[in-house]
Amino acid sequence: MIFLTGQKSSFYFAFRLAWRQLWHDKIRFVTASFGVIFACILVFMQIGFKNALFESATLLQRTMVGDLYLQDEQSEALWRLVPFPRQHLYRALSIEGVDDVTALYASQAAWKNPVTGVNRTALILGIDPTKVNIFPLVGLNDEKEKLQMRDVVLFDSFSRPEFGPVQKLLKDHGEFPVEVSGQRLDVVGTFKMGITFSADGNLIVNDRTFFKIFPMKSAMGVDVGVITLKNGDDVSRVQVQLRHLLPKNINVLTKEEYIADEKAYWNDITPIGYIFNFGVIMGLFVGLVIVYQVLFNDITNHLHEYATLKAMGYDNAYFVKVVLSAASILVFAGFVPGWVLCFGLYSLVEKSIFIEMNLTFEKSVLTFCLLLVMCFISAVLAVRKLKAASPVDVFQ
Amino acid sequence: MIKNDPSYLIRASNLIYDYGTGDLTQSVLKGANLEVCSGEFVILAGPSGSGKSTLLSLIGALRKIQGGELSIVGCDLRDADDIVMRKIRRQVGYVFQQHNLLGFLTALQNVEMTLEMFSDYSERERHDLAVQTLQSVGLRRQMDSYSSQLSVGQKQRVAIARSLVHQPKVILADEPTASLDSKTGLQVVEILHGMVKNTGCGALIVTHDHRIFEYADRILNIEDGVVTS
Ligand SMILES: Nc1ncnc2c1ncn2[C@@H]1O[C@H](COP(=O)(O)OP(=O)(O)OP(=O)(O)O)[C@@H](O)[C@H]1O
Ligand SMILES: [Mg+2]
Repeated sequence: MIFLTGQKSSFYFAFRLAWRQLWHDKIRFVTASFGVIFACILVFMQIGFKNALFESATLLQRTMVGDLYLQDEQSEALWRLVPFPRQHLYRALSIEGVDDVTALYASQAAWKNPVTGVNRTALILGIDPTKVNIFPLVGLNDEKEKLQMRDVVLFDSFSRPEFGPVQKLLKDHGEFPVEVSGQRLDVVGTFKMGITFSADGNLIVNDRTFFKIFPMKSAMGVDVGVITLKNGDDVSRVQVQLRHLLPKNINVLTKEEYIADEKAYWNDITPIGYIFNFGVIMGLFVGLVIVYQVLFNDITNHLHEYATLKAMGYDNAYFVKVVLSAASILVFAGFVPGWVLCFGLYSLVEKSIFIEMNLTFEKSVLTFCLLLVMCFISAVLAVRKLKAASPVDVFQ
Repeated sequence: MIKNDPSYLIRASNLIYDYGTGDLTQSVLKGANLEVCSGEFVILAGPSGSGKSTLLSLIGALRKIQGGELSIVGCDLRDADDIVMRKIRRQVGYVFQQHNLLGFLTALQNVEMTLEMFSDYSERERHDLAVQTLQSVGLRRQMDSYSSQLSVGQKQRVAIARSLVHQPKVILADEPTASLDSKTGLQVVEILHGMVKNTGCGALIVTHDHRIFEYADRILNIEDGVVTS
């Protein structure tokens, strides 16, 4: 910090005065800090929720290990896919550097809770059982042999509890039958993925079983084509070549683009972004009002003293620095405890809604900056009152 | 035109000052003349509403002059901009009727604030000078007290220490004893008087208090907007 070393600038003195002023009245200081803590928590939670929802929306895209992805241009999101002809996927193999291609089929169907008999919508992924490695999901590798069998299904143990006590049933009774879209299948194992926007639960089946569940679909139409490249091969070069090779209606996306695409879809069709941004603004507004109140009262209560200091030769800029310093101190005083509290709240939320919440460095920086802007706006509003402190006031 | 004679700390000639405009105009100063030299302890008296505070505020560069001439420590105040006004304020030690100390600072910190405006003091010098000045007003033991812990007279003495700690060339005081009992009032005047005699600065003191008059080198009267001796 520049003003703590070397020549003491007026900033140092202004900061020290602000600190002394805040520290002198500890109750008020704590109250003001609570205002910032409140705003801090609100902002953190809103950003956290928004982020978590978008993260969960792209869970599958993020876990897949493909380098490039093919999709029909009319495909919107994982649950609204439009298939494209399978031969296009295989044509990709002709391009230098392409290691392997995998056809992925995905759709939604009703899962009947084996205990209550109530239907829930599940996302069903169909894949060639020898290629399941493109999903490096926990537990999946151990179960991939079982996926070779006819009419079997692997169950995501992170699905919502409404899907039934599948894991317990498996442990107690071994394989057991369930009904998926009217088809009788056997649950033979579990893996761990997590819920997404598309569904509250997930199933993985082999491609033959997939077409049994969805008779209208055919192996000729691929929903998502996953391309893996040989080690070190240039993704953007292959992407360009593929775009030349394949018809215009097939999108060739890198992993980042694929994730961004899915995010954009959910951002556009749901008001999630809007709702949470609104929450952030509300939090900041409440904090702004509280901080403004404190700063404004500090100025009003000391108008005579400030006028006296002006009469002694202090300039307006000095008091502006004092108020800005007070604002910065309040940001720190609110942010640090707010951050710690949110750390606890995040894990609490994680446990109760099964959605991953991370208090990342980026979120911390973003929240801190928002609070800083909030406090500075409060300061700028409060400072207007300072002009009223005229040095001639000391005579009145 | 006033000559720039350095022995004159304050020179006002034909000062005019009106409050308000149009029909509501009230002429307060109608050609006031006044001089204070270094080493002089001058008292300005006059009836209430005669313009004493107004004159003092002009000399202290708190207001801009409207007519006439005014020079403080050789600095011409006609057409002075904010920067010049501030420069003059810093050379003037103003003692107000109200102490206006910052309640969240100790006596010592309040006094040090005057020195913080100037970059020529080190932390140590600031501290030592402030302690010295507080000692000279008899408050060394109270230097770490907040103003809520001080009596009215003590507060006023802290305010004086704050106005004098940087050894200003000009001391202006507007009824400095009005809120004090006679004993502390005299104490305060003695401090100001001693400062003038020891450092050779000049003081212009506004007061109604006749017991102070005996300290004065000169007593000026203001009435009907003009100053007479
Ligand atoms: N800000 C102002 N606006 C308008 N009129 C003012 C203002 N300040 C003072 N006056 C008027 O100017 C006149 C001189 O006021 P000033 O305060 O200089 O008198 P004073 O000699 O200091 O009086 P007192 O002894 O009561 O302090 C008074 O009539 C007062 O009403
Ligand atoms: Mg007056």
